Amino acid sequence: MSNARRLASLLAPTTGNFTSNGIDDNADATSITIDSNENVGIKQASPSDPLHVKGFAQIESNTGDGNYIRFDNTANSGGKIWRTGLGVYSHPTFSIYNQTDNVFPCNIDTTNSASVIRTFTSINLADDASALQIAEGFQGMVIVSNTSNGLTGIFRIENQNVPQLISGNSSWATSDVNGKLCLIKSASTNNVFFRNRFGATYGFRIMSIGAYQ
Amino acid sequence: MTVKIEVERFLQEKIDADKNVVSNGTLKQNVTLKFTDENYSSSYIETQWLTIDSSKSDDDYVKEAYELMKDNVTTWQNSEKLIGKTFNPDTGKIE
Repeated sequence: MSNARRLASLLAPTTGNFTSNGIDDNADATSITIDSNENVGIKQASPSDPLHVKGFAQIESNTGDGNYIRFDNTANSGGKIWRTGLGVYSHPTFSIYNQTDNVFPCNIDTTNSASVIRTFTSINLADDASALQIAEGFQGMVIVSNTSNGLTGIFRIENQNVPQLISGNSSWATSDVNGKLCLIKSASTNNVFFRNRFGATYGFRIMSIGAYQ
Repeated sequence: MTVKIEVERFLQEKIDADKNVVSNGTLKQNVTLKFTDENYSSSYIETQWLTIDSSKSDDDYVKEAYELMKDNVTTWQNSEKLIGKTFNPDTGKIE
């Protein structure tokens, strides 16, 4: 007999209040269901997944801790571990965090009810380092912030055309140019690259917002 | 602290003196390495274009590139190690 069925058999004959070490049942109706496939339902008598909750779920943090859900896909080739929730980057921030690569691609804040979505992961690129692919099969908008020099370039990416600089000063280029901060679109693919050719190692934060092309 | 070193790019390409990839440049071995440290929320990427020598193995190229980059990696680590730490004015120390 599986542990789940053993637990179910222990619980089945019991009506009304039931207490045991680790369990305090004061329900007036069935709250937890363990079916023959060992799926567990919370307020769901016919669970269709290993854990099936009907209604709401709450994850409350302990003092000093974050509260997040961890997704582990490492059982698959190339799979990674991600977390989403609060207290991953900081307590007021809702993060989507790539734990495997220690990357914060998306942190969501509010400032006076205004939405702030940003990446907190810096890429330090040596001067003239080979162009770094920053988006694959991509069309949309790319925001590159050179945090070392306080510069921001906003680019529009359409098909396989040369990127368009929507906003940014003369430090930015849309092709591979020495002395510039270069956003480069592959002529044969919809992959987007960035290359630092600005004269020294600088830190960058890069966000691409758009569609798969 | 443990630094993870990944080969980001490893290919032969023709470059000119300004490190532009050009059709009539000198053929070099591009070795691009990415350095990450679980203690830092940043990475460091550098490329070295190395002289091609048929006697060199892939390991030799990467080792040669690493030797050329390691001082810059130390500079990157030193620039990151205090980020996020708290300074205590009472003790005069970073904690």
